[in-house]
Amino acid sequence: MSADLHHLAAAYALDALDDIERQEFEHHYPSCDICSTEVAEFRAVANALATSVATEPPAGLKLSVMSEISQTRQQSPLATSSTAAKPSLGFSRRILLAAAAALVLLGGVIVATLPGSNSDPTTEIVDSLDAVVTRLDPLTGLDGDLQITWSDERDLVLVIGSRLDDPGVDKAYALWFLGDDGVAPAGLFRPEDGSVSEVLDIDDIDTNGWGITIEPAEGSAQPTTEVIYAGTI
Amino acid sequence: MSEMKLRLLRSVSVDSPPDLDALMHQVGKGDEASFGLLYDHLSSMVYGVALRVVRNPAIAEEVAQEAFVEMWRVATRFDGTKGSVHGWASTIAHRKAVDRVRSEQARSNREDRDHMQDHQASIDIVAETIERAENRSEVLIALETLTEAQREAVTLAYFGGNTYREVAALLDTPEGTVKTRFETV
Repeated sequence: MSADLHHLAAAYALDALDDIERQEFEHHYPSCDICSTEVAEFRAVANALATSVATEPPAGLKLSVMSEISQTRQQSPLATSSTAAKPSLGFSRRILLAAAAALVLLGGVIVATLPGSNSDPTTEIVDSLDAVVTRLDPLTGLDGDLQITWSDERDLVLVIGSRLDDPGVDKAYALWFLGDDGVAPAGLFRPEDGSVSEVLDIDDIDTNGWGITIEPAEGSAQPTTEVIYAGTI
Repeated sequence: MSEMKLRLLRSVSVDSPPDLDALMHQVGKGDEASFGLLYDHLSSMVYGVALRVVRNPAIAEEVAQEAFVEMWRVATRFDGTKGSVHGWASTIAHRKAVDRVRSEQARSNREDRDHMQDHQASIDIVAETIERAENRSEVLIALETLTEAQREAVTLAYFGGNTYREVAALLDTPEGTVKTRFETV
Protein backbone atom coordinates (compact mmCIF):
# COMPACT_ATOMS: atom_id res chain seq x y z
CA MET A 1 0.00 0.00 0.00
CA SER A 2 2.60 2.56 1.04
CA ALA A 3 4.86 1.62 -1.87
CA ASP A 4 1.92 2.07 -4.21
CA LEU A 5 1.03 5.52 -2.92
CA HIS A 6 4.56 6.81 -3.31
CA HIS A 7 4.56 5.52 -6.88
CA LEU A 8 1.47 7.43 -7.91
CA ALA A 9 2.90 10.96 -8.20
CA ALA A 10 3.55 10.76 -11.93
CA ALA A 11 0.23 9.12 -12.71
CA TYR A 12 -1.52 11.73 -10.53
CA ALA A 13 0.11 14.66 -12.33
CA LEU A 14 -0.91 13.14 -15.68
CA ASP A 15 -4.51 12.65 -14.38
CA ALA A 16 -4.04 8.92 -14.86
CA LEU A 17 -5.57 7.79 -11.55
CA ASP A 18 -9.14 6.66 -11.06
CA ASP A 19 -11.37 8.72 -8.74
CA ILE A 20 -10.60 6.73 -5.62
CA GLU A 21 -6.84 6.70 -6.11
CA ARG A 22 -6.89 10.38 -6.96
CA GLN A 23 -8.60 11.29 -3.70
CA GLU A 24 -6.42 8.95 -1.72
CA PHE A 25 -3.31 10.49 -3.23
CA GLU A 26 -4.59 14.05 -2.76
CA HIS A 27 -5.04 13.25 0.89
CA HIS A 28 -1.56 11.82 1.15
CA TYR A 29 0.85 13.92 -0.89
CA PRO A 30 0.73 17.35 0.79
CA SER A 31 2.27 15.79 3.88
CA CYS A 32 4.79 13.68 1.97
CA ASP A 33 7.96 15.47 0.91
CA ILE A 34 8.88 13.00 -1.81
CA CYS A 35 5.46 12.99 -3.40
CA SER A 36 4.94 16.77 -3.34
CA THR A 37 8.29 17.31 -5.00
CA GLU A 38 7.48 14.67 -7.59
CA VAL A 39 4.03 16.11 -8.27
CA ALA A 40 5.53 19.55 -8.91
CA GLU A 41 8.06 18.05 -11.31
CA PHE A 42 5.58 15.94 -13.24
CA ARG A 43 3.14 18.84 -13.45
CA ALA A 44 5.87 20.71 -15.30
CA VAL A 45 6.07 17.80 -17.75
CA ALA A 46 2.28 17.83 -18.12
CA ASN A 47 2.35 21.58 -18.68
CA ALA A 48 4.93 21.11 -21.43
CA LEU A 49 2.68 18.52 -23.09
CA ALA A 50 -0.28 20.88 -22.86
CA THR A 51 1.75 23.67 -24.43
CA SER A 52 2.80 21.39 -27.27
CA VAL A 53 -0.78 21.02 -28.54
CA ALA A 54 -1.92 24.68 -28.29
CA THR A 55 -4.66 25.39 -30.83
CA GLU A 56 -6.47 28.65 -31.56
CA PRO A 57 -10.02 28.33 -30.14
CA PRO A 58 -13.16 29.40 -32.08
CA ALA A 59 -13.67 33.16 -31.85
CA GLY A 60 -17.02 32.85 -30.07
CA LEU A 61 -15.54 31.07 -27.07
CA LYS A 62 -14.27 34.21 -25.37
CA LEU A 63 -17.67 35.85 -25.46
CA SER A 64 -19.37 32.78 -23.91
CA VAL A 65 -16.70 32.53 -21.23
CA MET A 66 -16.86 36.22 -20.32
CA SER A 67 -20.63 36.12 -20.22
CA GLU A 68 -20.71 33.07 -17.95
CA ILE A 69 -18.09 34.33 -15.49
CA SER A 70 -19.96 37.61 -15.11
CA GLN A 71 -22.76 35.49 -13.61
CA THR A 72 -20.54 33.19 -11.57
CA ARG A 73 -19.68 33.79 -7.95
CA GLN A 74 -16.04 33.34 -7.00
CA GLN A 75 -15.06 30.95 -4.26
CA SER A 76 -14.25 32.29 -0.83
CA PRO A 77 -10.50 32.91 -0.59
CA LEU A 78 -10.34 30.91 2.62
CA ALA A 79 -9.74 27.22 2.08
CA THR A 80 -11.97 24.95 4.16
CA SER A 81 -9.19 22.53 4.96
CA SER A 82 -5.92 24.35 5.19
CA THR A 83 -2.82 22.73 3.85
CA ALA A 84 -0.04 24.42 5.74
CA ALA A 85 2.88 25.71 3.72
CA LYS A 86 5.62 23.17 3.71
CA PRO A 87 9.07 24.12 4.92
CA SER A 88 11.62 23.88 2.12
CA LEU A 89 13.91 20.91 2.26
CA GLY A 90 17.44 21.28 3.51
CA PHE A 91 20.31 20.29 1.31
CA SER A 92 21.19 17.04 3.05
CA ARG A 93 17.57 16.00 3.01
CA ARG A 94 17.43 16.62 -0.73
CA ILE A 95 20.31 14.22 -1.19
CA LEU A 96 18.52 11.63 0.92
CA LEU A 97 15.41 12.06 -1.18
CA ALA A 98 17.35 11.79 -4.40
CA ALA A 99 18.95 8.60 -3.13
CA ALA A 100 15.56 7.22 -2.12
CA ALA A 101 14.09 8.11 -5.50
CA ALA A 102 17.01 6.42 -7.24
CA LEU A 103 16.40 3.28 -5.19
CA VAL A 104 12.78 3.25 -6.26
CA LEU A 105 13.73 3.59 -9.90
CA LEU A 106 16.33 0.86 -9.69
CA GLY A 107 14.37 -1.86 -8.07
CA GLY A 108 10.91 -0.78 -7.08
CA VAL A 109 12.12 -0.85 -3.48
CA ILE A 110 9.67 0.37 -0.88
CA VAL A 111 10.65 3.82 0.32
CA ALA A 112 10.84 3.74 4.10
CA THR A 113 9.57 6.80 5.89
CA LEU A 114 12.49 9.13 6.25
CA PRO A 115 13.23 10.51 9.71
CA GLY A 116 11.52 13.82 10.31
CA SER A 117 8.83 13.44 7.68
CA ASN A 118 5.44 14.82 8.67
CA SER A 119 2.72 12.46 9.70
CA ASP A 120 -1.04 12.91 9.55
CA PRO A 121 -3.67 10.27 10.30
CA THR A 122 -4.13 9.44 6.61
CA THR A 123 -0.45 8.91 6.01
CA GLU A 124 -0.32 6.97 9.25
CA ILE A 125 -2.97 4.59 7.96
CA VAL A 126 -1.80 4.11 4.42
CA ASP A 127 1.81 3.76 5.55
CA SER A 128 1.02 1.29 8.30
CA LEU A 129 2.19 -2.19 7.45
CA ASP A 130 -1.09 -3.80 8.39
CA ALA A 131 -3.30 -1.51 6.26
CA VAL A 132 -6.12 -3.52 4.66
CA VAL A 133 -7.90 -1.96 1.70
CA THR A 134 -11.47 -3.01 0.93
CA ARG A 135 -13.51 -1.69 -1.94
CA LEU A 136 -17.21 -1.75 -1.14
CA ASP A 137 -19.76 -2.82 -3.73
CA PRO A 138 -23.07 -1.03 -4.09
CA LEU A 139 -25.92 -3.44 -3.43
CA THR A 140 -28.84 -1.44 -4.74
CA GLY A 141 -27.91 -0.20 -8.20
CA LEU A 142 -26.06 2.88 -6.91
CA ASP A 143 -22.93 3.81 -8.84
CA GLY A 144 -20.83 5.51 -6.16
CA ASP A 145 -17.38 4.27 -5.15
CA LEU A 146 -16.39 3.60 -1.57
CA GLN A 147 -13.12 2.30 -0.24
CA ILE A 148 -12.18 1.54 3.34
CA THR A 149 -8.55 1.39 4.43
CA TRP A 150 -8.22 -0.15 7.87
CA SER A 151 -5.27 -0.22 10.23
CA ASP A 152 -6.02 -2.65 13.05
CA GLU A 153 -2.84 -1.72 14.88
CA ARG A 154 -3.76 1.99 14.96
CA ASP A 155 -7.53 1.53 15.26
CA LEU A 156 -8.18 3.95 12.41
CA VAL A 157 -10.05 3.67 9.14
CA LEU A 158 -9.78 5.96 6.12
CA VAL A 159 -13.06 6.26 4.22
CA ILE A 160 -12.74 7.44 0.63
CA GLY A 161 -15.68 7.76 -1.68
CA SER A 162 -16.95 9.53 -4.76
CA ARG A 163 -20.23 9.97 -6.65
CA LEU A 164 -22.19 9.29 -3.45
CA ASP A 165 -25.81 10.32 -3.11
CA ASP A 166 -26.66 12.98 -0.56
CA PRO A 167 -27.88 11.14 2.57
CA GLY A 168 -30.57 13.78 3.18
CA VAL A 169 -31.20 16.38 5.87
CA ASP A 170 -30.12 15.28 9.37
CA LYS A 171 -28.85 11.98 7.97
CA ALA A 172 -25.39 10.52 7.62
CA TYR A 173 -23.67 7.51 6.14
CA ALA A 174 -22.94 4.95 8.84
CA LEU A 175 -20.07 2.47 8.60
CA TRP A 176 -20.60 -0.92 10.30
CA PHE A 177 -18.27 -3.71 11.31
CA LEU A 178 -19.48 -7.06 10.03
CA GLY A 179 -18.12 -9.48 12.64
CA ASP A 180 -18.78 -13.08 13.66
CA ASP A 181 -20.96 -11.81 16.51
CA GLY A 182 -23.05 -9.53 14.33
CA VAL A 183 -22.92 -5.89 13.41
CA ALA A 184 -21.32 -3.04 15.37
CA PRO A 185 -21.14 0.72 14.63
CA ALA A 186 -17.78 1.96 13.32
CA GLY A 187 -18.56 5.62 12.70
CA LEU A 188 -20.46 8.21 10.68
CA PHE A 189 -19.55 10.41 7.74
CA ARG A 190 -21.23 12.86 5.38
CA PRO A 191 -20.11 13.27 1.77
CA GLU A 192 -19.64 16.80 0.42
CA ASP A 193 -20.59 17.21 -3.23
CA GLY A 194 -20.73 13.41 -3.38
CA SER A 195 -17.17 12.93 -2.14
CA VAL A 196 -15.74 11.90 1.17
CA SER A 197 -12.21 11.48 2.47
CA GLU A 198 -12.27 11.07 6.19
CA VAL A 199 -10.40 9.31 8.96
CA LEU A 200 -12.51 7.64 11.67
CA ASP A 201 -11.27 6.45 15.07
CA ILE A 202 -12.65 2.96 15.60
CA ASP A 203 -12.85 0.44 18.42
CA ASP A 204 -10.33 -2.35 18.62
CA ILE A 205 -12.38 -5.08 17.02
CA ASP A 206 -12.05 -8.03 14.66
CA THR A 207 -14.08 -7.59 11.55
CA ASN A 208 -14.69 -9.65 8.44
CA GLY A 209 -16.10 -6.83 6.40
CA TRP A 210 -17.80 -3.49 6.19
CA GLY A 211 -21.33 -2.34 5.54
CA ILE A 212 -22.88 1.07 4.93
CA THR A 213 -26.38 2.30 5.76
CA ILE A 214 -28.02 5.71 5.96
CA GLU A 215 -28.77 6.64 9.58
CA PRO A 216 -29.87 9.70 11.56
CA ALA A 217 -26.98 12.19 11.89
CA GLU A 218 -26.47 11.24 15.56
CA GLY A 219 -26.00 7.56 14.66
CA SER A 220 -27.79 4.34 15.62
CA ALA A 221 -26.86 1.37 17.77
CA GLN A 222 -27.99 -1.02 15.03
CA PRO A 223 -28.68 -0.46 11.33
CA THR A 224 -32.20 0.91 10.83
CA THR A 225 -32.17 0.92 7.02
CA GLU A 226 -31.02 -1.42 4.29
CA VAL A 227 -27.33 -1.94 3.67
CA ILE A 228 -26.44 -0.03 0.50
CA TYR A 229 -22.71 -0.82 0.22
CA ALA A 230 -20.79 -3.79 1.55
CA GLY A 231 -17.44 -5.50 1.20
CA THR A 232 -15.66 -8.42 2.83
CA ILE A 233 -12.04 -8.31 3.88
CA MET B 1 15.57 14.41 -10.69
CA SER B 2 16.41 13.48 -14.23
CA GLU B 3 18.26 15.88 -16.49
CA MET B 4 15.17 16.14 -18.64
CA LYS B 5 12.94 17.24 -15.78
CA LEU B 6 15.48 19.84 -14.71
CA ARG B 7 15.47 21.28 -18.20
CA LEU B 8 11.68 21.20 -18.34
CA LEU B 9 11.38 23.00 -15.04
CA ARG B 10 13.74 25.72 -16.18
CA SER B 11 12.02 26.21 -19.50
CA VAL B 12 8.55 26.22 -17.99
CA SER B 13 9.44 28.93 -15.51
CA VAL B 14 10.62 31.04 -18.46
CA ASP B 15 7.24 30.44 -20.11
CA SER B 16 5.38 32.26 -17.34
CA PRO B 17 5.97 35.97 -17.53
CA PRO B 18 5.55 37.73 -14.17
CA ASP B 19 2.58 39.79 -15.41
CA LEU B 20 0.37 36.67 -15.35
CA ASP B 21 0.80 36.58 -11.58
CA ALA B 22 -0.21 40.24 -11.38
CA LEU B 23 -3.26 39.51 -13.56
CA MET B 24 -4.23 36.62 -11.31
CA HIS B 25 -4.07 38.90 -8.32
CA GLN B 26 -6.61 41.21 -10.00
CA VAL B 27 -8.76 38.27 -11.13
CA GLY B 28 -8.81 37.03 -7.53
CA LYS B 29 -10.46 40.32 -6.60
CA GLY B 30 -13.20 39.83 -9.18
CA ASP B 31 -11.74 41.94 -12.00
CA GLU B 32 -13.39 40.66 -15.20
CA ALA B 33 -11.24 42.77 -17.54
CA SER B 34 -8.10 41.15 -16.12
CA PHE B 35 -9.72 37.77 -16.64
CA GLY B 36 -10.21 38.71 -20.30
CA LEU B 37 -6.47 39.36 -20.62
CA LEU B 38 -5.73 36.09 -18.84
CA TYR B 39 -8.02 34.35 -21.32
CA ASP B 40 -6.01 35.81 -24.21
CA HIS B 41 -2.81 34.38 -22.75
CA LEU B 42 -4.17 30.93 -22.00
CA SER B 43 -6.95 30.16 -24.49
CA SER B 44 -4.82 28.35 -27.12
CA MET B 45 -3.33 26.03 -24.54
CA VAL B 46 -6.65 25.38 -22.79
CA TYR B 47 -8.58 24.75 -26.00
CA GLY B 48 -5.71 22.70 -27.47
CA VAL B 49 -5.63 20.34 -24.48
CA ALA B 50 -9.40 19.97 -24.51
CA LEU B 51 -9.45 19.25 -28.24
CA ARG B 52 -6.59 16.74 -28.10
CA VAL B 53 -8.20 14.79 -25.25
CA VAL B 54 -11.91 14.85 -26.23
CA ARG B 55 -11.37 15.06 -30.03
CA ASN B 56 -14.73 16.63 -30.89
CA PRO B 57 -14.39 20.42 -31.51
CA ALA B 58 -17.86 21.24 -30.16
CA ILE B 59 -17.27 19.25 -26.96
CA ALA B 60 -13.75 20.71 -26.69
CA GLU B 61 -15.28 24.18 -26.72
CA GLU B 62 -17.62 23.22 -23.88
CA VAL B 63 -14.77 21.71 -21.89
CA ALA B 64 -12.59 24.81 -22.44
CA GLN B 65 -15.44 26.99 -21.22
CA GLU B 66 -15.91 24.82 -18.13
CA ALA B 67 -12.18 25.09 -17.45
CA PHE B 68 -12.18 28.88 -17.70
CA VAL B 69 -15.23 29.23 -15.46
CA GLU B 70 -13.52 26.97 -12.92
CA MET B 71 -10.39 29.15 -13.10
CA TRP B 72 -12.52 32.21 -12.45
CA ARG B 73 -14.21 30.49 -9.51
CA VAL B 74 -11.06 29.31 -7.77
CA ALA B 75 -8.77 32.22 -8.74
CA THR B 76 -9.31 33.58 -5.21
CA ARG B 77 -7.22 30.71 -3.88
CA PHE B 78 -4.43 30.75 -6.44
CA ASP B 79 -1.05 30.61 -4.72
CA GLY B 80 1.80 31.74 -6.95
CA THR B 81 4.39 30.15 -4.66
CA LYS B 82 3.08 26.68 -5.54
CA GLY B 83 3.51 26.94 -9.29
CA SER B 84 3.04 29.06 -12.39
CA VAL B 85 -0.29 30.40 -13.63
CA HIS B 86 0.25 28.51 -16.86
CA GLY B 87 0.82 25.22 -15.04
CA TRP B 88 -2.20 25.81 -12.81
CA ALA B 89 -4.38 26.50 -15.85
CA SER B 90 -3.15 23.44 -17.74
CA THR B 91 -3.89 21.26 -14.72
CA ILE B 92 -7.48 22.56 -14.55
CA ALA B 93 -8.03 22.25 -18.31
CA HIS B 94 -6.66 18.72 -18.51
CA ARG B 95 -8.65 17.56 -15.49
CA LYS B 96 -11.88 18.90 -17.01
CA ALA B 97 -11.12 17.17 -20.31
CA VAL B 98 -10.31 13.86 -18.64
CA ASP B 99 -13.42 14.04 -16.48
CA ARG B 100 -15.51 14.53 -19.62
CA VAL B 101 -13.91 11.56 -21.38
CA ARG B 102 -14.37 9.32 -18.35
CA SER B 103 -18.02 10.23 -17.81
CA GLU B 104 -18.74 9.55 -21.49
CA GLN B 105 -16.85 6.26 -21.30
CA ALA B 106 -18.87 5.26 -18.29
CA ARG B 107 -22.00 5.78 -20.36
CA SER B 108 -20.94 4.01 -23.50
CA ASN B 109 -17.90 1.80 -23.60
CA ARG B 110 -16.46 2.17 -27.03
CA GLU B 111 -15.25 -0.74 -29.13
CA ASP B 112 -11.73 -1.81 -28.29
CA ARG B 113 -10.56 -1.43 -31.86
CA ASP B 114 -11.76 2.16 -32.20
CA HIS B 115 -10.10 2.76 -28.87
CA MET B 116 -6.78 1.50 -30.11
CA GLN B 117 -6.92 3.62 -33.27
CA ASP B 118 -7.64 6.75 -31.23
CA HIS B 119 -4.69 5.98 -29.05
CA GLN B 120 -2.36 5.35 -31.93
CA ALA B 121 -3.19 8.84 -33.17
CA SER B 122 -2.40 10.39 -29.82
CA ILE B 123 0.88 8.51 -29.51
CA ASP B 124 2.12 10.33 -32.60
CA ILE B 125 1.12 13.81 -31.50
CA VAL B 126 4.24 14.72 -29.56
CA ALA B 127 6.49 13.48 -32.34
CA GLU B 128 4.51 15.50 -34.90
CA THR B 129 4.64 18.61 -32.77
CA ILE B 130 8.37 18.30 -32.38
CA GLU B 131 8.82 17.97 -36.14
CA ARG B 132 6.52 20.89 -36.93
CA ALA B 133 7.94 23.27 -34.38
CA GLU B 134 9.69 26.21 -35.97
CA ASN B 135 10.90 27.55 -32.70
CA ARG B 136 12.45 24.58 -30.95
CA SER B 137 12.04 25.49 -27.35
CA GLU B 138 13.80 23.64 -24.58
CA VAL B 139 10.53 21.95 -23.71
CA LEU B 140 10.26 20.33 -27.10
CA ILE B 141 13.88 19.28 -27.08
CA ALA B 142 13.32 17.74 -23.68
CA LEU B 143 10.24 15.85 -24.88
CA GLU B 144 12.29 14.57 -27.76
CA THR B 145 14.62 12.83 -25.33
CA LEU B 146 11.86 10.47 -24.19
CA THR B 147 12.33 6.89 -25.29
CA GLU B 148 9.64 5.50 -27.56
CA ALA B 149 8.18 3.41 -24.73
CA GLN B 150 8.07 6.36 -22.35
CA ARG B 151 6.51 8.63 -24.91
CA GLU B 152 3.88 6.02 -25.67
CA ALA B 153 2.93 5.51 -22.01
CA VAL B 154 2.87 9.22 -21.22
CA THR B 155 0.85 10.22 -24.28
CA LEU B 156 -1.65 7.39 -23.85
CA ALA B 157 -2.27 8.67 -20.35
CA TYR B 158 -2.14 12.41 -20.95
CA PHE B 159 -3.78 12.77 -24.36
CA GLY B 160 -5.82 9.58 -24.25
CA GLY B 161 -7.31 10.43 -20.86
CA ASN B 162 -6.54 6.89 -19.68
CA THR B 163 -5.72 5.71 -16.18
CA TYR B 164 -2.38 3.96 -15.83
CA ARG B 165 -4.27 0.67 -15.55
CA GLU B 166 -5.90 1.34 -18.89
CA VAL B 167 -2.53 2.26 -20.36
CA ALA B 168 -1.13 -1.03 -19.04
CA ALA B 169 -4.00 -2.96 -20.64
CA LEU B 170 -3.60 -1.13 -23.96
CA LEU B 171 0.12 -1.80 -24.05
CA ASP B 172 -0.26 -5.31 -22.65
CA THR B 173 2.31 -4.36 -20.02
CA PRO B 174 2.30 -4.84 -16.23
CA GLU B 175 0.92 -1.85 -14.30
CA GLY B 176 4.16 -1.45 -12.34
CA THR B 177 6.12 -1.07 -15.57
CA VAL B 178 3.80 1.68 -16.77
CA LYS B 179 4.20 3.61 -13.54
CA THR B 180 7.98 3.32 -13.86
CA ARG B 181 7.85 4.60 -17.43
CA PHE B 182 6.02 7.71 -16.21
CA GLU B 183 8.51 8.20 -13.43
CA THR B 184 11.64 8.03 -15.52
CA VAL B 185 10.41 10.86 -17.71
